[in-house]
Amino acid sequence: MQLTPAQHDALSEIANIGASRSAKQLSLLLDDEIQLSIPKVDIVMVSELPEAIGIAVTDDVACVYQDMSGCLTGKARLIFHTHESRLLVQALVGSVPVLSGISMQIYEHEAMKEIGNIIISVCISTMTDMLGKETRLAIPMYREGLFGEIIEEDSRHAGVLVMKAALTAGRRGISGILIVTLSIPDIVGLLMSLDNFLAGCAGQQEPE
Amino acid sequence: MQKTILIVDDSATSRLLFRARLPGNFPYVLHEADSLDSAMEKAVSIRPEVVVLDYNMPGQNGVEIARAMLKAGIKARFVLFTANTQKSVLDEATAAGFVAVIEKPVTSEIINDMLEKVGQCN
Amino acid sequence: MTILPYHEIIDHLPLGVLIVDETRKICFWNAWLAGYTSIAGKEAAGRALEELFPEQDNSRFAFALEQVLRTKSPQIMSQALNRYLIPIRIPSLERHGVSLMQQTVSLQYLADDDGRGYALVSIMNVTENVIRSAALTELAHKLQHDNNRDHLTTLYNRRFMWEWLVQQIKQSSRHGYPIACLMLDLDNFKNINDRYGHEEGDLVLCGFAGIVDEHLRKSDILVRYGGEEFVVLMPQCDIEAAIVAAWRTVKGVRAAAIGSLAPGQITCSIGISIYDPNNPRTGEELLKEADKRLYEAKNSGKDQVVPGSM
Repeated sequence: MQLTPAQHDALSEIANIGASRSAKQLSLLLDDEIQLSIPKVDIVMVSELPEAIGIAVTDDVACVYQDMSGCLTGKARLIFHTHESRLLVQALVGSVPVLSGISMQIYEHEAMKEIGNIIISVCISTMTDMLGKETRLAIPMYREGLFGEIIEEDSRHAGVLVMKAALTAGRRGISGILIVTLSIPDIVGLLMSLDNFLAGCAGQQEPE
Repeated sequence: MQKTILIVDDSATSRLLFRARLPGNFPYVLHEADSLDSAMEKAVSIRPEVVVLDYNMPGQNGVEIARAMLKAGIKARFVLFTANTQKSVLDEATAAGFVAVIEKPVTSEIINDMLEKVGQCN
Repeated sequence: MTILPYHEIIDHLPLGVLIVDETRKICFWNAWLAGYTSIAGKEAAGRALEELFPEQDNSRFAFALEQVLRTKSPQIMSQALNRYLIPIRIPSLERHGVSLMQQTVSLQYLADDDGRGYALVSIMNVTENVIRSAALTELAHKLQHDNNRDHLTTLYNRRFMWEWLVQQIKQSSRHGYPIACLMLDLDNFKNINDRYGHEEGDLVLCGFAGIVDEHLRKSDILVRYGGEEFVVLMPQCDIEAAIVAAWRTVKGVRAAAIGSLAPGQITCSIGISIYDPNNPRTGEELLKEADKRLYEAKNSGKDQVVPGSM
């Protein structure tokens, strides 16, 4: 799936605004300065996903996800490497010693869910607002596991919108990836909305 | 000679959107730049009244670019353009002498607001 | 199918339920909330949450509400990051260190028949989980601590020492610095136990440990190695510095009143060995040499330091 330079630029700007707004909300929630790098965006097929985002199917990841319905139907997932996400939450919520495999990370899932929910809902709503696509998100869920298992349920024929950014909070840096898995028709619809959006902007230009 | 405003943003979409949302009777001519180098070049040649800078840019951020411009002797009102209106960013902007921070995505109201703030500085 | 009294059902639920309309005003406040806050449903109706609890910083809730009403998508406010939404005192929990109810809050979008939007706010009391979790965490920290410590003197134990030493030797080899090893033994300790009793003996051990500790740097570790045997490990310490520290310790012990004994009644002997990264050996070998030197000290009249050869 190839994005034209104009589409890529527009999608990047939308992702940038979504990421920036998320950063602001997170900074209020966590009472700390949050930095989010400029997100890299792309649209790929599910089969190309591991290579495109640099996460192997055998990698251990933590994932906050929300089902999407409406004009865009599919799944929005925020993916972190498990180890990094633990460090992040520990930095925010305090650390708990791990004794002989008994992990008491009861807080950590909750906190990650909330952080993930904010990022997903702000990024998705920024996109749908700017492009006029009505979409509903379901309640956020959390799971850990192998990346391959997590995307197993996605249809081989689906497309994925990828937004990759690095988040720094509590002096801890962690890189997360927002992947939005959609059917091909929905992706085509999304690209059309992008084109309409750009055409709309161009059309409104005052003649110089 | 008409007054000019320079917008510096690496995203063509963002610059396009800004131009598209200009209110009628906008009192400035809008010029664009997409990087520190092109911004400096333009600023020196057109001597804008106002420079609108995107915060999140590859390489240097908007505040750093403003500092570089001030150092180079460019006299203009600086406005920060960002969706990341965290306190740390706002403080950084104030410390560097920005007269306003405007939020993305931009609307005509936001631009009008900005004109007011810039006007208050004169 | 009979129509159930949904209103009553929500009132009976064991969690807080409030519904907020698009103007941010409360239009439903269930019995659970009324009971815990002493604010009746009628009182809460038509007011914003900030009005009912003005001292609270409600900005997180305000954002969550705005997201839900605008995007029709759910928001959650975890206990971990927010503690609670509605301040509710629970006196009976104060002795567990928690004075306010800890809550997990979930917001969902609702629409009425006319298409107007509302936020359904569910508030769950998770205080007991929080208390239990905090107790477990404290226990885990304590266990981890106890695993590495000698019960009587609270000094590190042998188990910890061996793990630590392995790591230090690696660092020493990587960065090229020496590690000093001091093996200390209380002189004639058996006599003290026999003469003054074991309780006094224990006091002497603790007192001795305290004095030795005074002569150490932050980076050094003090280990209870045996009954009356102790080991000091000093990273980045060469033979000269180790000898100085050891003699200071011997003099300090001799001059101090320890337990209920007068100064001069307690003395110690110290054997020193040095780990040289240019001549690597194992931790066991390092301690063995210090032990040999200690033996020499004991046989030369005690109350002295015998350093190893470098």
